[in-house]
Amino acid sequence: MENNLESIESQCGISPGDTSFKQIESNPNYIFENDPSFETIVLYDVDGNIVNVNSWVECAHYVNGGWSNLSPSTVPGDMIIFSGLVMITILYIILKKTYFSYGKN
Amino acid sequence: MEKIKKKYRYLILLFVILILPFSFSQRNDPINAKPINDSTVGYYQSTTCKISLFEVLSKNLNTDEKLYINNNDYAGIECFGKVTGLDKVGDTFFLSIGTNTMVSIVLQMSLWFLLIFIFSKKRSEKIKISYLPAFANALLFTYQQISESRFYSQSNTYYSNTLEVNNYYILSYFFIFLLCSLAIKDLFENRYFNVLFFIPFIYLFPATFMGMNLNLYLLIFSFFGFQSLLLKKTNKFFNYIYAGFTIIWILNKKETINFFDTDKLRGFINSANNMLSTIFWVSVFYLVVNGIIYLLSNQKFNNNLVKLKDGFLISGSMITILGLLGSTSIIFNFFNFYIFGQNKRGMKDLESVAGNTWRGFASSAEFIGEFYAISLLITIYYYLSKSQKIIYKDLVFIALCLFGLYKSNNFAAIISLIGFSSYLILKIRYKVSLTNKQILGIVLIIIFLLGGVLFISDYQLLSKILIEEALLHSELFQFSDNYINFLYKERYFLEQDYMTLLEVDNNYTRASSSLLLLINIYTPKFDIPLVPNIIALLSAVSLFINRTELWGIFIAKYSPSITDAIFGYGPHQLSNYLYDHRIRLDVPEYKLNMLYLPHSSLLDSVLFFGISGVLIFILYCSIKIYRNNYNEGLFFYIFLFLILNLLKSDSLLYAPTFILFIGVFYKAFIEKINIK
Repeated sequence: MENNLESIESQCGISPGDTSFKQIESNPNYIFENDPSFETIVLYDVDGNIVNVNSWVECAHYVNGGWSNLSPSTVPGDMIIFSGLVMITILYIILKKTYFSYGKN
Repeated sequence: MEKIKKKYRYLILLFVILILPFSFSQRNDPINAKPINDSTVGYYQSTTCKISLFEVLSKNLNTDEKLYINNNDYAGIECFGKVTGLDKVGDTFFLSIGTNTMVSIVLQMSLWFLLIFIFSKKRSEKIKISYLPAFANALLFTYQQISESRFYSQSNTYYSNTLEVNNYYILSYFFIFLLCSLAIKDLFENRYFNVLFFIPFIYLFPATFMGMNLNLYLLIFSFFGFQSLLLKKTNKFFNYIYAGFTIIWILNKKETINFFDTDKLRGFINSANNMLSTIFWVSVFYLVVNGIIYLLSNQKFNNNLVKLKDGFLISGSMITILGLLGSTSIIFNFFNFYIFGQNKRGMKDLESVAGNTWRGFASSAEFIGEFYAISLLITIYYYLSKSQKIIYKDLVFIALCLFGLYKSNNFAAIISLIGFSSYLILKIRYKVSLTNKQILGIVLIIIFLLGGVLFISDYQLLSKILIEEALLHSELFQFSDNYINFLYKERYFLEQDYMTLLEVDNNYTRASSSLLLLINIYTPKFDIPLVPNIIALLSAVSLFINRTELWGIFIAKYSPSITDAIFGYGPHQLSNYLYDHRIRLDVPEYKLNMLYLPHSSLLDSVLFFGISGVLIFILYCSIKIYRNNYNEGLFFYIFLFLILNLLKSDSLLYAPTFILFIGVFYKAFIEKINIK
């Protein structure tokens, strides 16, 4: 986790200092303590799941596991592709007359 | 000037398709690529879908670390061209790059159609094709998404097979296939390309879409298959036979939940074993065959041997060069897979086995060996018939193809090439013409010589080795230790008492129907002196051509019902053969999960079309040859070359050889016969 500090600090803020992650790594049932001075941050994973983190340590833990403060697109990917394809089809029909013109070599 | 401007436009387009998708990433975020090493594995794992491939490569150009770029088809579109993970296995870092199948198919299709456009000429007179084949084609291939749901659900995160108006996944694929079919229509209406000169480049461009069980040629030829149906330009004899077989395949279909992950056959094989997928592949096979024949019948070859020769030599040379580059460079390895639409990733190094198979461009060593041999055969034929000196550039190409043939280790292809070349030299150069009696005499001498070889060798041992190999891989005795199973079987091997072996412990209930039949034939009821047992002969031949183990496994696995044996399972149906009958392979542990194909296109044809289908084909060709009702020439020789080599290779399972086979078959037997 120490190696990932740059990415963590960009999303969770500057590290409080003497933070140790060893206790979290060794205890699968570790309970994060809320930090009243820490402004809650919303993090997302690639599937769009949401978690609210209430301390820098908790935030660092989730960011290290691949969560991010950037919300994934709310528009499903297949809908984006479908829209793109409709536009490409329209463009194709319009442009084809230019490139597939009747004529000599 | 206009031509140069056009070329620059095409180059820009190519750049956009090839490079840009792998360069996109958010520039305003602080997440940048880092040199890959043990300490940055965690960094890449926690910054997924944020760093592009080219960013990573720019930071790791001179790295000493072993790196391999994986493609991750399942990732979403936001991850396309970006790092989706990094893992270290052994001493190699595996970098996963998102290659969503829907984005990949659009990019690959654009690339390949652009290349066809560039290398084709404008027609002097535009032809008109109906829109109907385009819609039919789009519907057919969208249907595949539903019929092979297990394959596609594993390769695309957006997969959904529900038939609803808001199923954008299915709608997207419909549009993709519609766009593709419209492009085929427009290209063919306005541009001219001869499919015969196109065939050698099918070996260079396998054109299998990333993450899909589909290749571009199925789309193209199916389109023209629909066109031939519309214009009623199909062969009635073929139609009636195929219709009869189709009814039997459908009525006889036994659905199972077996799933074949397609492996190196991806793009040209059925992954499922249900009615829907069977209907799809039965339809596609029919349309593709008709499509190829329709195109060939509408195009003139004009005896343009030089173009055919050049096509094969250039394609062969490029496969050699690009295959070598792919083995030595991770970037070439990844982009070869993407640009050329390979079925499997190319080998990562040039060690002895890796160098043999050109895997990526070729799915097997036999397949590519046959291709190189055919390329050289066409070249030899060309120079003999034109009686001219070999030009320098051809010498370079020939050298590259010879290297490729040598590295493929396909001894049968090399021997066949020598044999056919010798025949062509005698026939064309020295005008030696053999009568049918003389050919028969030569064949008899060869048989006599082979008989002599068998006589000198331990025929007793050779004759039973195939049966014993099949028994070895059958699940007869039920001991958990394979070695104990072998010891029990060995007792009966020594006495050649296979019938008792089957009786003991009710082993006959676990033996395949083909094994039972073969043992029955092998165990003679009466002995005719000097007439060898057919199974014994087959066994001896299998050892000489190094097919004993593989054909033994085939016999152990192949357990058809009578209907399956006579009519087959249907085209591209391998699941029944692979999974229906339980066997117990007696091979080293690392080989247990390998794909064991029949290693004979004749056996593959028996699986698909049954004994009757194969016999109809053999009868048709034999009658044509007997009545001298065929086009003797280069295509006939290629046809014979293929037949000889396909007896011991699975190459017909791969689209390029299948298309070439149909092409030469048409040119040799169906095209209007030249008056002799």
